[in-house]
Amino acid sequence: MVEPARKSPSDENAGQLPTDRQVLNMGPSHPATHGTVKFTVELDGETITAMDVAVGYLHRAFEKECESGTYYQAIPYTDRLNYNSAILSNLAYCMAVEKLLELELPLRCQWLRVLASELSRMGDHLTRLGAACLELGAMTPFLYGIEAREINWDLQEMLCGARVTSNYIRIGGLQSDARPGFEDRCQESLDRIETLLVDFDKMITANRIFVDRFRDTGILSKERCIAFGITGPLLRAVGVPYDVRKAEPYLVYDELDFDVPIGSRGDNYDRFLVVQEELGQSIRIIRQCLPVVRKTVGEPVNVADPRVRWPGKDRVFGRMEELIQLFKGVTEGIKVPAGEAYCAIESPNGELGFYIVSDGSGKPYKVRCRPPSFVNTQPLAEMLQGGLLADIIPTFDMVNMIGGECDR
Amino acid sequence: MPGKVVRVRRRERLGLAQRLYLPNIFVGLYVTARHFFRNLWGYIVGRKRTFVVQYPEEQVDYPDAFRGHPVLVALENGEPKCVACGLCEFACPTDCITIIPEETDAAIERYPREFDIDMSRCMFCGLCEEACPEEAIVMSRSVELATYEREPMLLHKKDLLRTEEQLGRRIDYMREEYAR
Repeated sequence: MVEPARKSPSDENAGQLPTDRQVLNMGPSHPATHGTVKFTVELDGETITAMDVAVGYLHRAFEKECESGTYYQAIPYTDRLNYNSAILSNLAYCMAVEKLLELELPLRCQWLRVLASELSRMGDHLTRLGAACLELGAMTPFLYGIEAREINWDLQEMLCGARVTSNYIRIGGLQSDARPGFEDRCQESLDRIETLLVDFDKMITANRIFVDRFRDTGILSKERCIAFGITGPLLRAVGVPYDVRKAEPYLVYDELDFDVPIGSRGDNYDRFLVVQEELGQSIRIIRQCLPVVRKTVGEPVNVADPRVRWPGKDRVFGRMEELIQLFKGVTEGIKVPAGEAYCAIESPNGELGFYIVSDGSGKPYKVRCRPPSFVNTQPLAEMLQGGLLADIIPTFDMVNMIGGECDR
Repeated sequence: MPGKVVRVRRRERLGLAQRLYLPNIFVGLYVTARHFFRNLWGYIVGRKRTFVVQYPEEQVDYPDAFRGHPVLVALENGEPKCVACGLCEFACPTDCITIIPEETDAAIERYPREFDIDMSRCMFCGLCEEACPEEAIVMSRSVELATYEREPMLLHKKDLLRTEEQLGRRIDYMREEYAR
């Protein structure tokens, strides 16, 4: 007896395979998502039909922790928000406190702050651009980007004493002045970064594989962007020229000459180009800061008010009055007048704001951080709806969600 | 306010060279090969351009501003310069410093009987150094603290003492920068 040849199911239902939607869990600790975040993706083949983004894995009660210490003690914690651009987090916090204190800062302090914050922004942008290539499997441009960041971080280390956790900005001043020779080193490093960026651009920007992967992926319309409250390069990529540095100039940004790059479609390619252009603008700003920083050597970088900024060591060692002021400043904390203030700056991801409520004591009553990463991560599911599984990681990179800042 | 809004240049249609892949491969090869030979030449003539350091045999020289872990400055008699005022304890955001003060009949009548820093909590922020009114606690240039257990991370007074010569560079930096 001969058994009948068994039909394979594909012969029978050719063209109408019964397929199920598949649910895929990515993260919370996935090697490709640099940040602790969990994606639950519903897939139809390789197409994303639904997506859920779960954040909060890096929550460490930053805002509550700030309330337990003096105003000074919260500054090192702000380093840990966006660890790619720690100086900007320091700056946003200190500026919010200064707004409550209604301080007038010395000129040199303002220019150094702008210089430091642009260095910090460059570091963040370089990481984002470099990693964007890495997500697509391009290792070489990533290494050029990281080499440029390395040069940048060396500069930051020279300025702040640490590469990542800068702890540089102080309420009413800076931790220290720029060291002698910093300006020359800065000039030289910027030239080196620029040559690396030329190579980076040659390798990637007009590369067909890269353009094909980035163009028309992760699109979000202008209306939806505004509805979600997105700021930063993501918003500029859809063509809204909103930059806090232009819209509400702080420090000396109104004296500086720089452009705001905008995109047109709001896909990943536009985001990439906007960030790349901003990097050039940051270099331009630093170049404008250097002559002023050179010219003002020797001028004070801190406000001369010992009630706000701890008095200098030379006076503390020799005089009783200043010693007492230092003791009061450290043990009781600086007395910030009761009230509330919100101050926002342009961070590499968008509007980074701090809302501080003071009850007049030495400790903040409430510190609230408006993290651009959190706001920008919200529409991730909407951006990727209908996209391919492989587009999650590059889109996630261009959104540049930083766990430390998003989850606080 | 100077400066304007610029629209980034999108390559909506790639050129023929880009669409053919092959010319771009040569551009890529040219860029990477140039980097390779330049780095190689740097090694040959002894002017290294790469960032890779063969740690721990090779070590980088940190800048003056570098903050390592906090240490105590010792006087010539080996005792700490610290007068146990407790300001660093107050300034520390993570409460990693513990001081037990004691009084003596010596010229400097107060000293710390115990001075512990819990290095597993310290975050190298340098606020203790900024607060110290005696230049007694300074940030060293050392960062190598890895241990296998938690116990050695709790550094006691005897582990923390360094002579002023050992900390010369940092103390010079502090005198220049914190003078204001």
